[in-house]
Amino acid sequence: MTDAEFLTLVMRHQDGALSPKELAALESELRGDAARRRLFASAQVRAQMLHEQFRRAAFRVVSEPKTRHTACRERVRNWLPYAAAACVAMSLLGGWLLARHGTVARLGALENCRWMDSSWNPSRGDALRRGQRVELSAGSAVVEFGCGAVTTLRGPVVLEVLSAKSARLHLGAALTVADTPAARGFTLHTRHSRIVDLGTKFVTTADADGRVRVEVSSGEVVVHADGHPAPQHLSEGASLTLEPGRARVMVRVEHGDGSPAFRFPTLPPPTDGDDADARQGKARITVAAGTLHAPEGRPQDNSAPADVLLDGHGQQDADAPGESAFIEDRSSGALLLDLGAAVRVERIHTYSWHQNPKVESNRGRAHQRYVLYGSADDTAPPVSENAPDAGWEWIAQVNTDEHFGVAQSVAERPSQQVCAITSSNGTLGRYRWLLWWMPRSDNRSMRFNANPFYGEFDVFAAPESKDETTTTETIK
Amino acid sequence: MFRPEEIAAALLAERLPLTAYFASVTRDFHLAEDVFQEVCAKAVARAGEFESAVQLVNWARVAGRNRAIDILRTRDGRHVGLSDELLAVLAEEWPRRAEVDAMHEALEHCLEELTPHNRELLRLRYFEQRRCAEVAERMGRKLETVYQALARLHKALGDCVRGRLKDEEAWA
Repeated sequence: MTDAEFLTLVMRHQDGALSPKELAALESELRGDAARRRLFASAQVRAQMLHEQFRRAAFRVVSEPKTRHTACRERVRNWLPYAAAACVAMSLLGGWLLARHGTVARLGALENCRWMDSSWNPSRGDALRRGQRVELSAGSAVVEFGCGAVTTLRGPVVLEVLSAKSARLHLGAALTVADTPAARGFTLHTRHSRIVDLGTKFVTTADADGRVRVEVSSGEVVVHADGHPAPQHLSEGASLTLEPGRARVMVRVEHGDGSPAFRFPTLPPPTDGDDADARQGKARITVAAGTLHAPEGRPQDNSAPADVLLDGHGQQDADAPGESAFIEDRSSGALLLDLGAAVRVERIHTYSWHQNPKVESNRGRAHQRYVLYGSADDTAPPVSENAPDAGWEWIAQVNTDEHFGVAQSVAERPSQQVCAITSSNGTLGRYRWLLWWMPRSDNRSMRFNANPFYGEFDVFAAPESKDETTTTETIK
Repeated sequence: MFRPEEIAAALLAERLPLTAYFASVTRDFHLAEDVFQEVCAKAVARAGEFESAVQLVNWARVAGRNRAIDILRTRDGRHVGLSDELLAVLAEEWPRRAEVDAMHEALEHCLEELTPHNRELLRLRYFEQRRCAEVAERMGRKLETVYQALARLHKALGDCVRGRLKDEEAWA
């Protein structure tokens, strides 16, 4: 059997059209030949990819090439046809919705919907009552609220309608457009937070593990995380991740102005006033796993020593390996910071910057991707890929490509980035040691697996209060 | 020992190769996705039992395969497809996430090189999930021609992806 004949048989198998004799022939080919098994697996995987790529393309409306800072906005634009159609429907419905007892929202456009409850078969225009859940396995559904806010859901997603002006997102992704005066104040609740609209469009994603991400495409929202005294204001282009867990860790990522001043919309530039700065003389940073980049015969491309991260400033140039600390490509690695003593860590800021001066699309080392762990022990626990097993406490996971929606090309990445890790309860925890585990990228594309140019790590600790000292002494 | 969020993250990272494997049993992408979701939920509930990511993914493959066969048996009264033993052999050699991620990116570019007619053929088959007989009818072709055209397109896309991945290596 030739490869072409074999692939034709595989196509018939995918189509569920094999006769018993043909099925036996396919099995015989697969059993006796590893190359055929590989061909079969490739065809299956390719079919799945084609399914997903066509599905993605079907939701994509804008065909213009992405620019570097528009990934978030583009993702929102992809939802807009559904949202726009729903807005028109809303204007027609007027206050009728609210007049009906218990009805606080209505289903709008439904596209290829598969519902988790297969016995539920709703139609466009069906009323949604207070407390009713919309549970979508696949496809897209619009929910039009009485206040005029419109939420577009894309399965898998579970949304509970709470009132004419609020809902709870249990799982999945939802685009909310609430840009009319009546819709201002629309509130989307998640497990540990609520997002209040101030006249905007925003996408909220709630993962099964409790992680929530908010991305704002226009206008402004306020995010209230449970237990956090200060609400987080997010404006156009900004995003925020709320990590699950006891400390309610928040990861905020912003892109800079691409200058040595490292200016960001709301977050500060690198500073020498933090508790890990070299000037303070308390902290020390070392490479705890892997090695820093040092290509043979190209010393000009070598990484700087790790302590460049504590020098109080970022790089002076967009393509400055000698002012950046970065792990060997195609390798994982870890940086270990010793703060000298266990302190209450409040905030951690990490900065990166990379733009190839000759190739505009090459920002291969601009992103940030790490898992951050901490320990208050006198000696650092052993460092390995399975850090929690060795006694490290998980703090947060960062992947700025996720925040900026970088999927297809590194040209979508902002060249200068800051990541701020904070906690809803004020402190991330009490730590002496911080470990940045930087996993090797599994993506075989060099464009994605070059390790990033980090320019500065700033760690801010809470002052040790008198009350705390007194308490400690009393206990003693 | 894994925490539930680590289980979810590990399985989501392997989603595409896993669903592709389940689809080789279900021959239905949506059903394969349902199976994947069920497997995720089961894995999170048994989080304490896994000691490594490899063990977790291997377990997910077996659990998903069994679940997919069960669903087909319940729905159709029987399962007609590759034998358990052969599916197990395939599972051991199934492409992993790293390989699939690289292929995925390259495939998007390769798709752009196809003629609109060929893209439409793939769209009808893999996005709209139409049976080949229906595709043949819509496109005014014979059924056998559609199978052969799909096989040729798979070969062309496979060659294109391999070519692009070689170029990528050189880019570094």
